[in-house]
Amino acid sequence: MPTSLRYVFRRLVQALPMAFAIVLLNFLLLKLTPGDLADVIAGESGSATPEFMENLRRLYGLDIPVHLQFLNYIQGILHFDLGYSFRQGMPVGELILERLPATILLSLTAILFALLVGVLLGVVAARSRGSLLDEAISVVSTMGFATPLFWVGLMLIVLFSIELRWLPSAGMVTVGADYRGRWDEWLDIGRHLVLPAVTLSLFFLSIYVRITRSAMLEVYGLDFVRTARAKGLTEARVVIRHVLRNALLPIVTVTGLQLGAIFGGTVVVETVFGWPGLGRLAQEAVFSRDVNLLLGIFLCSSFIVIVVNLAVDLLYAALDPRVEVRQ
Amino acid sequence: MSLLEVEDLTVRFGDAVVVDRLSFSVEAGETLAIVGESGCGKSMTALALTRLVAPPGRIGGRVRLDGLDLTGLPEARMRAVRGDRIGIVFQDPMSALNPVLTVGEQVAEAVRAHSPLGARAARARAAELLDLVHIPDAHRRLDDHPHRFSGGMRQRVAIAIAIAANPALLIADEPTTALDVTIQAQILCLLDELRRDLGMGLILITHDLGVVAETADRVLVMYAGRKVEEQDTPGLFAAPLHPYTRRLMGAKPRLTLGEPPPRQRLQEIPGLVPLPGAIPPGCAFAPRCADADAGCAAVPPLQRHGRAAVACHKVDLAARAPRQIPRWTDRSQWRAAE
Repeated sequence: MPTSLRYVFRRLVQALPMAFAIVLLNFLLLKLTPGDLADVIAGESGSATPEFMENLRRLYGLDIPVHLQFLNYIQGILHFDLGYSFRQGMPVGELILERLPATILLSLTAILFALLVGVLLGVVAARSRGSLLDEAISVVSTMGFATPLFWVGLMLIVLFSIELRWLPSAGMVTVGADYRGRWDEWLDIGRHLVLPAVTLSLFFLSIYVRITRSAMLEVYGLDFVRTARAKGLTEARVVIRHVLRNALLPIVTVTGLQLGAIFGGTVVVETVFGWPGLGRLAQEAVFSRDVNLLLGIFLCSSFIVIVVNLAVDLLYAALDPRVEVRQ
Repeated sequence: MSLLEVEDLTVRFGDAVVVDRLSFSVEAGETLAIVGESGCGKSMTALALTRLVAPPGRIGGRVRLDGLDLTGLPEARMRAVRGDRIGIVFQDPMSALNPVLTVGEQVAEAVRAHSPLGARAARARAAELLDLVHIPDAHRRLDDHPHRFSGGMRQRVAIAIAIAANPALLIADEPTTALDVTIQAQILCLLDELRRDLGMGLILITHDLGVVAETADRVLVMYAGRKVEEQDTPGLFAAPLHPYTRRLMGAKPRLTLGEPPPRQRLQEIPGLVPLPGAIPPGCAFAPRCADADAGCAAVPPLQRHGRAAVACHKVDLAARAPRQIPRWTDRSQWRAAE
């Protein structure tokens, strides 16, 4: 349909200024930190002559005016050249690409788990409103909402890895494992994935429980639900097709808003579980003052959030036919 | 045996009685209007007939449809009656349809709930139904969502949903209240046409006496959850019995042609309908009634005479009965008289 295509195009165009703002902010962060790259390298070498500093600045293009430096920076980004990490001895782009899949696997698993379980519990709570079950779900979700991720992670490690010995506590694969085929490898990754994914999902799961519950209760009171009942539909059909279908709209909105937060969560969870992803790379970059790497990660994750938000907006438009009209 | 027989229908929320021992019947092909001010229990009666009263509301009494007692039916069997034998149209068409499903999906869903039709056949039937309620270009509009329809068109869709399974009884709860005047007439005509063509009994719930005069065969007047009067429409308009009915008629503005009549203030009924739970003992209308006296402290019994009934101490139905109540068959005659 041309209307929906127009909507997609419009949302894409709207995302462009946002992307530019992020690049600019990133560049300014780089410039606003006291000292430049030459100072960092010189400081580490112990002694450096002014001529040596001069050479370094020329080498890294730091001797030209700031706006030209910005243009160079943009040009670099367009070629996915995010600079060089002197700590890791590798281009930043390559480092990020290497770590990205692990983080995507972890975040996606966590979000899907949170959505599935959170929506399910929310529906159950709304259906049994005011009962003991509803109260119990409410208490547990409040706790999940309020408990810090790193603590939950540590407790899960204590219980499932140390006490029960069911699941591995760290890493993404078993070191020195001898896999007999691809299935074996996936299974091993899956076992390693359980604890970090559950830990990361807990906060979001609690949010979904509460949103689903309140959205369901709100939709329950609407007239079209009565119409659906008056048709003689079964209760299951009324709940799934009429109530939940409409309650999904706020859930999708919140999912979009929360995706930025889940990237923040990966820094903590990947550190606790030694998960070799972007979050842990960011933590390493902070502690080793690897500015280039850190900014590269900022930029990359900002772009991912923009893209995902765009996807969520489009999904929202697909779920709610009234969206295109409202624009 | 009537199509619908209602006996002592009662709806209570805790101690509050919203519908109080209401009895009436509807014949196949007949239109019964239930009239009263807002809050007198009309809509609750409609919901109670299909057992759609939300908890903690409780329903008592007996409702028989074609001899089948609905009050004792298990929920699963009641579901088979809802939408199949009884269709309902609700007041506000703007909110009665699911905003995220297409109109075709919503009508087809009502069709499939009570027939073994496949998706394709149900869709074809949905198009037929939309055509039946006079939605222009019905085939092409199946895939549109409700927000693309006007209020009147949405009410037509809601009616199509209600008649999807050829119900024996159609309940229309204030079907025109939320619509423009011109659209109101169209919807009333449509309901009347469908009742005639499909041979349904029709219960029309309204607070608009104009609507009653247009469409109803018989009228039941409710006040504070109770039946206060029941008459054939011509009889009611010619000689309303209960003081409440008389005041309702007095509160209705009239348009006349020719010489303007002397300016007359529209009469209002002083006070408000008592809230359920705070209904005064005795005659519930007594505090607002000009004719009330000490005798009204007792609950007035329902006096019946033929098909007319009234619950008022001040009216002696048997004494009035010999008075000639016009029995017109042609509606235009009593509409003119009114």
